Amino acid sequence: MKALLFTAILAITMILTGCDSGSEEIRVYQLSKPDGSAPTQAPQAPVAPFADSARAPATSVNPSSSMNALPGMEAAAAQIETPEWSVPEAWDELPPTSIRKGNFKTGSAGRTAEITVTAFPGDVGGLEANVNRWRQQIGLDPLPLASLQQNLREIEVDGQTAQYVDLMDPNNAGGIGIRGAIIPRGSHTWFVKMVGDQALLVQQEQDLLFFLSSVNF
Amino acid sequence: MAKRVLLFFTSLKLTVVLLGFSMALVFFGTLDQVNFGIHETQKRYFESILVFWNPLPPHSDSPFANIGLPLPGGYLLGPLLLINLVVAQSYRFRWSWKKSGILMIHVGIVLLIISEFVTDFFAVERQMWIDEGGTKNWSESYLENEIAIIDQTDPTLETVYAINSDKLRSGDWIEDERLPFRILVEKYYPNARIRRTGPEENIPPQASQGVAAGSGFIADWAQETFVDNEINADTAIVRLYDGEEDLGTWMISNLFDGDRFPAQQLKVGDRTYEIKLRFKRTYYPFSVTLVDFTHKRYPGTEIPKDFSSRVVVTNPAEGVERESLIYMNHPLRFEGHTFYQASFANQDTSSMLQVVRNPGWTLPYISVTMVGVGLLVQFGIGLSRSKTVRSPKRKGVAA
Repeated sequence: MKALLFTAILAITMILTGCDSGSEEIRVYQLSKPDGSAPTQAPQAPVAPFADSARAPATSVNPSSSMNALPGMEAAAAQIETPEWSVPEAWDELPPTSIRKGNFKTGSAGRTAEITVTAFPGDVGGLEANVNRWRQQIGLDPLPLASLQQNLREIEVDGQTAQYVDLMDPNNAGGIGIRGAIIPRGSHTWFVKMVGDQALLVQQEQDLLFFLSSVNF
Repeated sequence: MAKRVLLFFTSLKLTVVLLGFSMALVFFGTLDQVNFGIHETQKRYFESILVFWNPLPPHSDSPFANIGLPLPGGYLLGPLLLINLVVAQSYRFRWSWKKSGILMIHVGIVLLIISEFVTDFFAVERQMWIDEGGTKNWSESYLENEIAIIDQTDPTLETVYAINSDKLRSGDWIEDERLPFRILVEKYYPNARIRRTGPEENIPPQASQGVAAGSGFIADWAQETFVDNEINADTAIVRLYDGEEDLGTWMISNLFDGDRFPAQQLKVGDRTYEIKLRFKRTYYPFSVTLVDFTHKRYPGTEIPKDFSSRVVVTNPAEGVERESLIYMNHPLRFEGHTFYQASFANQDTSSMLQVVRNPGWTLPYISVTMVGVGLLVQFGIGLSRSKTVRSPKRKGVAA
């Protein structure tokens, strides 16, 4: 009897140690998309209500992007020389990071905005892809380039033509918007992005344009 | 024969040998943690049958790099200790109230060993980053990655096809009737350095579509890192097929996050898909809103005193809305998950919660309590017996 007992225990523990604790290799599931109002459940199960601060009107840059070390891109960005510029008085300068060449914040009456200057090799997918990336960060749907023209206007930055991008969510006046510039320069593309409360963006437009006009590569 | 096997497994000498090996395993595992970090060391030493310890650093070119001191791993020692303890107790133990403390101690230790296996097999740890004022209903792994194909066609619904990436090898086919297309993994890098080709370099592009094609990126193999604060840039070059139609090659990497890089989209028939490689996600039926993150410092210094997250957890299906303050040593337990305050960023406006699901979380508490009570009981019995023996006034007791 006892021998049987210990053999059973031996067998069970050996089986347990042989078990693969890995989860299922392919998983299929559905999520409802935000539609501007409260997220709803779709009829199929299992469905999770979509509540993701990176897709809903954003309050800030996805924090994981500022915490992760990005070995390849860090090296690429580090090789690009930082230009000179004049910082508007209302902006507080923060220490640059491995990716952010310029890092500022501003605020008034409880509203805040963040201004970043980044640069990457190549065109990072092109104008349409980059504007749509910014649109998606504030919960707007992507659009073809022809429809994006209303959000774009040409400006000059250090003698080079750049695109000034104006993205405000008309359905969310108290929410987050983006204004900035995409500046192709040689074999790189520079991104100056101000993201924050839309009312503050309106107030800060002159400071943003002043900053852009002061950039000297 | 059976008798000899039984005597072997009930032997106290076996217990001493196994405990000796356990101490050696902990010692050498602690030494190797410098090279491999906590997670890799846990896998190599405690979630294995056999491990070889080598004093040389990992990826060393030395001819001695492949020779090591063999040690039984945790999955060999643990079951043997469990068998030894259970079999010895059932074979030798003669029940009496005077030995009840010993029984409790042994049951507590058995429970502790079992709890370790339960944690290994069933516990899941994830990270959840939330901005102040933001809400999240998903968390992600910091070690495991997945290929995610997202059907974006429907304006109200996304269908996600997620494939674990940890078992991928270059040349693998991923084919499953549930997937919208077939995937050939042309190249897979557990860690990669992604860069743009220089003007003098004559390297053919690795991808014909997507971000890498548009920006001239190539991925070079890089040594896997085990350092705790570094991530491995999980990267793959995949060729997609809709039936026999070649949809081109795409570079997907967990470095291509949505903030810096546009989504990689492709149209297959009348459907639009996005393909990406990202940290493995877990979605929940509830959501967590970060109301406020507080970071207190000792006055006049930058030395952190404490940090805490005030959150509201909502489960609309259950009609639950619960506010809670999460801070160090004060996690939130909700629907089988435990939320710990782990980190913060963005000038104290973003908080990271570590989300742990461990169905066996109570077992260590129960086992330690049983061992503690068992010790008290056994010492108490021994104490009362020795008092009885010493007292000359008691009748019928030998001096």
